[in-house]
Parts: sequence; C-alpha cells; structure tokens
Amino acid sequence: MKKKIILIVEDEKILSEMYRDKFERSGFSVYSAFDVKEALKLVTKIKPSLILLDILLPRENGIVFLRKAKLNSKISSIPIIAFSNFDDHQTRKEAYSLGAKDYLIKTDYTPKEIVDKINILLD
Amino acid sequence: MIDKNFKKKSILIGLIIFLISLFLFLDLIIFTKIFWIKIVKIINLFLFIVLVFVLIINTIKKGNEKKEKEKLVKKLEKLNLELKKADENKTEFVSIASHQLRTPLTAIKGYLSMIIDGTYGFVPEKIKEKLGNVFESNERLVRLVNELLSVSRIETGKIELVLEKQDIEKTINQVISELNISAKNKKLKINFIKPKNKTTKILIDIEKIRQVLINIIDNAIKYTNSGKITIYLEEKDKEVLIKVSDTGEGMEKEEIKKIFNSFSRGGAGERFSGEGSGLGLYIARKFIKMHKGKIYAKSEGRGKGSCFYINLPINN
Repeated sequence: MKKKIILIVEDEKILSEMYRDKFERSGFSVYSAFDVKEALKLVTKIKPSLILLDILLPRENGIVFLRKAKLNSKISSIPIIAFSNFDDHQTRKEAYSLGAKDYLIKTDYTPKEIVDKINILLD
Repeated sequence: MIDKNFKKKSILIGLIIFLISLFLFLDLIIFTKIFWIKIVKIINLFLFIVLVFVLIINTIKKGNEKKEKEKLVKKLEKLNLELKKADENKTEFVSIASHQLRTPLTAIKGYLSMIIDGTYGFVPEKIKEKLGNVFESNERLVRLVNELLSVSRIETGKIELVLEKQDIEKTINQVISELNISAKNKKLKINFIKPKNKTTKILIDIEKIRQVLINIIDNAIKYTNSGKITIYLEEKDKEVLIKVSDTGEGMEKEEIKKIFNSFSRGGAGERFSGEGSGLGLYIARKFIKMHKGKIYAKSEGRGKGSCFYINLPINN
C-alpha cells in the first residue's frame, strides 16, 4: 500500500525532526518545509494527503500560506492542521475561516496525539 | 483657549478698575470743594484701592494655582501614559516569553513521550517511572506558562469565549484520564459519579472549562496524600453542577476566602508544595464568571478535605 504523504511546515528544526521521526514510524511519508515559499513550491510537487502548518514562520506566516492555499485549486482540497505555540484568539479564528481543519497548540499534544488527530482526519 | 479667555477678562476688569479710579480721583480733585466730603472721598478711594489690591493679589494667586494644577495634571497624564506603555510592554513580554518557552517545552514533552512509549526501544520499568516524573514536571511547566498567558490576557481584557455546545461528561472523563498518572503516583483513586441519563449539552468554551477542571482536580491530587478524589456531576434547575471532593489537607475558613485571589495558594499550598503558581483558581473564577456560572469552595477545616463546586447554566 502506498504511504500517505504529510508535509510539515515548521521552522524550528528540533520540532520538525521530532514530528518527522514520529510520523515516519507511524507509517507516513514525510516532507519538510521551513517557510511558506518553500512549502508552496513543495506542495504542488509532492501532493500531500495532509499539511501540518506552523503559524509563526519567518518572512511570511502560516496565515499567508492558508490564504494562498485557499486561492489555489491544487492545494485548497488538501486538509491543513494549523499548529502553533502562538495561542491568539484572532489568529485562530482567521485560520479556521481560511479552511484550517484544526488549530492545535503544540505544547498541549504529544507527537502520538498529533498522529491520532491526523489519522482521524484522513479516515 | 481657557488661558486666552482668562487674559481677556483680566484686561477688561483692569481697564474698568482703572477708569473707576480715574473718575474717583478727578472727582476728588476737580469737583469736590467741601473739606469733610473730600476726606470721606479720600477714605473711599483708599478703601477702593486696598480692595482692588487684595483682588489683584488673589487673582494672581489663583492664576498661579491654576497653572500649578495644570502642570500637575499634565505630569499625571504623562505618568499615566508611561504606566500604560509599561503595562503593554509587560503583557507583550509575557506573551512573547510564553511563546518562546513553549517551543523547548514542546520538544521536551514530545521526545520524553516517545522515549516512554518505547518509540526508541525498550525502556526498563524503573527508568520509565522516573521519566514519567520528568514528564509530569514538564506538564506542570506547560500549565504554568498557560496560566501566565491567561492572566496576562484577563488583565488586558483580551480574552474571549469560543462557545460551542459540548458534552461536559466527556470533558470530565478526558481530564480524569489525563490526570490519572499523577493520581496513581500518589496511590489515589479518582471516582466519577454521574447521572444515569446523559446530561444536556451546554454552551461553553471547552478549552477554558477544561483548564478549570484540570486545575481543580490537579489541586485535589496535589493536596491529598491518602484517600480518594470524587467528582460528582448532576443536572439541576437548568444548571450543570460539578463537585470535586477530596480527602486531603482541607482549609480553614480564612484560607477559603483568599484562594480565588491571584498568587494565593492557601495554607496547605504554602506548607506542602512549591509547585503551584497560585494563579489557577484566580483564572478558574474568571473563566467561570465569563460563562455566567459560579465557583466556590467548602471545607470543614484543616485535615478534613475540601470540596469545590462549579455551577454552569444550561443556556439553550
């Protein structure tokens, strides 16, 4: 069976590697991008089943990615989970209004709990 | 504007006084021939000059006082602005610092959980137990950061409710399973007594109520060294009632009065634990108030356990 692809958009290398590790061990194929530009380039190439998107990114933030993704028919159908340690009501609201399936605070979840969330979404 | 009007008025009054004085003086010199009338008029003129002099001194004094007051008001306004700015800076600092703190905490939590669940290979039970304690300490740090953020938002009025109909029974079960590890570590049992029929779904901000429940139940575990913690859930008079009862340290009446204030940990907190921030119950009260609910505590005294009550309205 073909592995499902997950794109992690995360600028903190330690976290990106940690999630990659857990997701690969949970049977996913994982790609990483460190900013919005890189993520947009990668997403059309790898066609992921799901995008795990950090909000506070260098240069352009995750909200910009969501806005661009919404306008792009090739990306708009891909489920996106926003995940950040930036817990701001307005940002959360905006992320949901731009189509994010969930907005998770990173410290509240272990990688396994995030895998569980991903599995629920992909099922 | 006020200053200009004041100046105009002063000039006008000065001119009138000068004209009156001139008229009185001319009257005295030119028209008054009889000696005793001259004396009376001189006295009158003298009294008039004294009166005008007193009035002028008074007016100058008042003008100076006004200027002083205006200076003081400006100084206070400036200080107020500086204080506001300092408060904003503090809030921004707490927000940025909390976010920065959360990144390493996420890495610690994530890797620890993966080591404990055997992702990187077998971990002997003894080591697993110790790592569990480290994980629990990290969780406390996570909660502390969350509490600091909440307080900073409460104080700046930047907190809003995200209301959705929720199953409170399910939330309580989730919180219990989350805190079961720390309860088991202290050999405490958590009982959950709920009604036979499902309670009505209520309109709440699930994250905030979850935070309140975690705080109350976590406190019960923290301040109970033996016995059990019982959580009761019932529906009564268009309200959902939650009661968290423990067999722990208990509180004196004076402590109960203070525990919902910020940075208060009650007597038991001061004696037995250095872990609490003293912010949890303050936040809990604020969050429950935002839901138009009630939160209060009862205890028969030291050593006799505590009971925390939360009433949430069913507002369908």
